[in-house]
Amino acid sequence: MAGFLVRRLLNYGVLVVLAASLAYLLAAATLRPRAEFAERSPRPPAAVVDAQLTALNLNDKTPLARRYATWASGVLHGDLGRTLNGDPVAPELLRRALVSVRLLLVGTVLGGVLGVLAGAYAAVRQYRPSDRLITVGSFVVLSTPVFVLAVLLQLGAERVNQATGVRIFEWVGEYTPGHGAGPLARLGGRLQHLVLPTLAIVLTQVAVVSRYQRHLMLDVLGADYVRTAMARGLTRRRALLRHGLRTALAPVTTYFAYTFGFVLLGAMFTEKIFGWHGMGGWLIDSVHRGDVNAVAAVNLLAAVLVLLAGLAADAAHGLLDPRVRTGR
Amino acid sequence: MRFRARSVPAVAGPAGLLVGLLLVAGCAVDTGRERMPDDMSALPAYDVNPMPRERLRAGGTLRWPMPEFPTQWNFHHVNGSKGVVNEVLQGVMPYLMRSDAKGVSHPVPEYLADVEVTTAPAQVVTYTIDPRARWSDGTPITYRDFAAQARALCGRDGRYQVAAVTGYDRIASVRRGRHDRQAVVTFARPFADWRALFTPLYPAATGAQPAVFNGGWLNRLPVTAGPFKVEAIDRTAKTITIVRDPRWWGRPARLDRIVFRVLDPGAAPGAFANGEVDVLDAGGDAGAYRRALRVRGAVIRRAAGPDWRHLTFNAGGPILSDVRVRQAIMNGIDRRALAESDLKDMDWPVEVLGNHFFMHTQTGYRDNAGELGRHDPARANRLLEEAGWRRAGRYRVKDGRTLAVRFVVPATQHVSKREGELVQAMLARIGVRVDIRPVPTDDLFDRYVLPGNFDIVPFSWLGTPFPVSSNRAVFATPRGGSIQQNYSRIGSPALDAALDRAVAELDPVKVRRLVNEADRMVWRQATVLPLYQRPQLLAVRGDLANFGARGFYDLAYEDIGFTAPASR
Repeated sequence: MAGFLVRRLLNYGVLVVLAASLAYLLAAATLRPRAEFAERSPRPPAAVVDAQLTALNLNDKTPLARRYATWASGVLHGDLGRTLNGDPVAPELLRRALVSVRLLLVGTVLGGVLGVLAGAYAAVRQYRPSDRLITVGSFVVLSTPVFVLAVLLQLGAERVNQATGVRIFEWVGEYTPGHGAGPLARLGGRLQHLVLPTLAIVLTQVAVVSRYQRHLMLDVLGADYVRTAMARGLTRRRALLRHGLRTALAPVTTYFAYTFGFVLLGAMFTEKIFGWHGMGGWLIDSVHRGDVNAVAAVNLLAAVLVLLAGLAADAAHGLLDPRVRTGR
Repeated sequence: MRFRARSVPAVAGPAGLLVGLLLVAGCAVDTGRERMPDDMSALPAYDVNPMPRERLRAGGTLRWPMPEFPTQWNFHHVNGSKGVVNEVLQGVMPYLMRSDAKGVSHPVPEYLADVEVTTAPAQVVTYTIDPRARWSDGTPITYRDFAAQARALCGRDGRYQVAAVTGYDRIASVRRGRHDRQAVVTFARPFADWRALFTPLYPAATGAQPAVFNGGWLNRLPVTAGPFKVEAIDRTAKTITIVRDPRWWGRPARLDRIVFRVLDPGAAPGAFANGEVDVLDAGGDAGAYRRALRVRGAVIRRAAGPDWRHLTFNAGGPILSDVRVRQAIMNGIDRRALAESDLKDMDWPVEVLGNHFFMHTQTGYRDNAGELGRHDPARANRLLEEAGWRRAGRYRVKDGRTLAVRFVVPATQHVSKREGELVQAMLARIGVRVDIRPVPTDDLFDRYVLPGNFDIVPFSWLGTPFPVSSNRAVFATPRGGSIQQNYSRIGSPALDAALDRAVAELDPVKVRRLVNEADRMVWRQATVLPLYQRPQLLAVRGDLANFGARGFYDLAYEDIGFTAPASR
């Protein structure tokens, strides 16, 4: 299995370099940081704008190839450049990535697990009322845009707060700033702020994953080896769990690993509606601003994440599917 | 998500650079009691629930959302001159002048004990600094701070990445007066808006070295000198907390702290409804406004803001280069109908704006629109006939060409789109075809307005208490390929001269006369059609005092407070 992973790693390395470079070139060729300055009022002196853009390696008067070389050599030294505001990109990237992880990890994992369980359960209870309920529920969630879902949750929480007269739910940001509370109270505050966004993420995640899992599970249910297992005297429950679910889990793991990478970047609406300042919002804001280095950095991270997700999926696949380990 | 095209160019606030034309030359700065101009409107100039300090409880936290997280805290740096930066700095840095509700600036006594202006032989402004005024590191505020700032911002040293040099480029020297606490500023050329200068003031160390000027205020405020000081800048949560500064020599701040917090406009109404922030900008969209109306304990404060909505005509284009056509289009547009449509959900009295420089609520406002401000399709038809555009079917033609104009609107802004549709219907009646071109909001200026790729575009300018120096770039004749902010791309030597005279005049009464003269010229050249002064609608907790929709009025942060005992 080690050889298999090393081969994969090399492939992925080449892909990351390609993806990140193309992303930089695309961003640098199409975004126009100069416009950000031109629209200021009062309009900054032209010489200042040029000097500023050159210092940030964003000047469109410098040939694209030269800008790319500057950027690439910086990246090789761990320097991702500066944002349009002159702030170093790398620390901000790290800050934002950690915010995203803190916002999404619990919800995504919990949603994934619950989704698998709900899907498997629905498959076993095919066409019974509980299956229909899960199906209808997940389609309702799937057809609701996430920002609508988030706002509905907020409205509901607001009602609860008003009815009880206590602010049980708070949802703006990770924590309430400006309060010198003890570490325990701070942790409590963070958890309190996590409730609503996590609920929103879990709901969407369950809805998606349960659909996949249900179909995979249905395929497996009628498979020979499950029937054989039962014929050998295993109870239906044991046969389904040991042989059915395990097999049906492998493709979902792959799917799940890849989605996590994208969830990290694609949670823009969740971030914005709940006032967290993570990767998704940064990417969108940076594109609007024409902040080339920030956009390139996010894309670089995305490429790396996809690589890691792929590795994780391969590893998980290996664990679940013995054929991979023995090497076909 | 930002709405750049709505309030594009211009920084909010006093900081907006340039000072109010006031002040009779040669006398101390205290004037300001001017007679009401004839055309002063009934629009509320500010609405901040004014309350004597004694009635406010000591303490409390004001939680104030902001649209973006600033990193550069040097307001005079090219990356620092933003409205959000200004909002925070007003609590912690020396703002030597504060504008009143009519846009008239007055010195802040905590910083300036006295200001004297003489005009002959040259303009000399003598600032006498309050002897108690100190930076937070203990150094007194002296003429050295003035001198260093003037040198950094004069534009002669390219290493300083300055936001603007307006005004500072006219300063000949800054010298010590009778003592260290007196700065004598001599101007090479007179500058009407001198009150905009040195606000905010930075310590001498900042202006003395380009490295400190450019990088010393990145993500930090090394020293302050105001009623508040910075407690924390949280770059993860994107919040800035300022707390009462015990070393402040003026009236102590009523609030304990102010927490500024970056919040997406989409998230702000919910946060306000749940009591997690105390302020909500309810003027941006009708949804936020309606939601704010329903929040228990909240009030909406309304005032006429400093920014104004208008249509800019591209006189550099083939069709609108004829002044008669531009005037005809102005007469063909019913401005009141446009204003009513834009403001219909806002419970706001509609008044059309008749001036390009002064707002209704500002001292000096006059309606100079004359004939061009009226909806007069008959006159419009006549003008078009004169210009040689003859009716042929629905639209007019001349030399085989149809009279059609491109009305460019940012795609995400419904207000602009609706304006386009109304203008389309209005102008169809005088035989002008309007093609509405929705464009990506981010590209509006860069790809359409700046290169002149449009005929008509609606957006807002942000006004300042200093209309002459800030508007010169908008109306000056383009020179040497640089249009600055003159998106209509024409001007006239007479207008340039009028603006130059106004910016160099030190008698405020004369300045207002000169500005209104210039304004009439702008009306006649028919390049920018003002629509209305935009309302500021700010939802706040009802118990919040000395805070709200401020219009031109600059808040004294130390007086902001809550009336009722804490319920939170």
